[in-house]
Amino acid sequence: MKELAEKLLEGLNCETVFTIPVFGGIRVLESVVVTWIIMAVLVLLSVCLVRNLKVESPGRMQLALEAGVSFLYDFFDGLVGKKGRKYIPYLCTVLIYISVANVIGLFGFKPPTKDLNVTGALALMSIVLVEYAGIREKKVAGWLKSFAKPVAVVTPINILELFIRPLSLCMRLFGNVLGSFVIMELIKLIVPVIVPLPFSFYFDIFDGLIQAYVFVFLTALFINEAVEDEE
Amino acid sequence: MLTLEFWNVLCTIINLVLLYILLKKFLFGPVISVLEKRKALLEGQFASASEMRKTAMELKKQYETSIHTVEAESAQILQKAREDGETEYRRIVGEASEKADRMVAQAQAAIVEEKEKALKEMESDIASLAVDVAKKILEDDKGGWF
Repeated sequence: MKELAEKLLEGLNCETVFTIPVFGGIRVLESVVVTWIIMAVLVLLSVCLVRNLKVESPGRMQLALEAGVSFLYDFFDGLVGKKGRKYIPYLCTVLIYISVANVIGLFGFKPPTKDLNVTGALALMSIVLVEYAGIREKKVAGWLKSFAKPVAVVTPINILELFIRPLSLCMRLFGNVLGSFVIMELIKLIVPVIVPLPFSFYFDIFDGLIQAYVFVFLTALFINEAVEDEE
Repeated sequence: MLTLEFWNVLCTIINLVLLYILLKKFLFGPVISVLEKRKALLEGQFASASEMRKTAMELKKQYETSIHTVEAESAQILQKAREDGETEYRRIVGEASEKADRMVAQAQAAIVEEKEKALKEMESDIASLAVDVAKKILEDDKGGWF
């Protein structure tokens, strides 16, 4: 039992890979390094896929790529509405990043989303983006007024939402990834063969993708709410 | 695990912004631009196709009207030709019958003339014959009768 606890702790702990000796030593965590790897893979992959795209008579690869990208665009287009259209590339990026980050455990890396710093940063960016979209669409006065809508009584709750939303986004993602990791470890401890397989499908792949979906889905909804006219 | 560190959050934010910029530049930008180009191309082709169909319809209409006029014209020409032929036929037939009448009349006149001429000749022959006969009789009679 003690062994398990140690193993779990080791799996949960995000180790410092190296320290940059500036500002009194910046500790670069494993999650940041894995994020670099994910970035490198994604960028290389997209550079390879995007090379010699043709307007006429596209190849099978290009058709698949186009179908995928337009699927994402259409999906977000319906969520964020007409005014939020310019935030679609960001939402797509986050969706792809979280999806890859959640399932990268299958390739032997430690998922970056298991680190609170990463999910916190993601949630922070989301709320900043949502409020930025609101300010940009309604100007500062309109944005401030939108806190007192639909009735003035809810103003404190609306202000609280500024903090609750990113917190819930951050914690939902973090908790799900963490929870599925712990459960998988426990299942592997109890029955090490065959049984973990279906559970792994659920917890490692399905849950990870669902959480990525939920994260960007909520962010898109918040953006839509921030930019849409209330009149 | 459960510690939030400013530097790591910042690192992640920088990473994500960088990833966003890179993916936008290398993935979404090109793909969307290709999709839009294709859309524009298709729209252009549709527009040109409908344009072409329109001109084709116009041409067809033009041809149809010209065919109609040509048909009318040809009918007219045919009618005219028929009429011309008719008048020509009548003229020729009339001329021919006239000529035939004239020829018959000429022939009749010639016959009459010939007849008269023959009669005259015959008369003169008869006269000379009578004279001859009378002479002969007179000569023969030299010895006998007179």
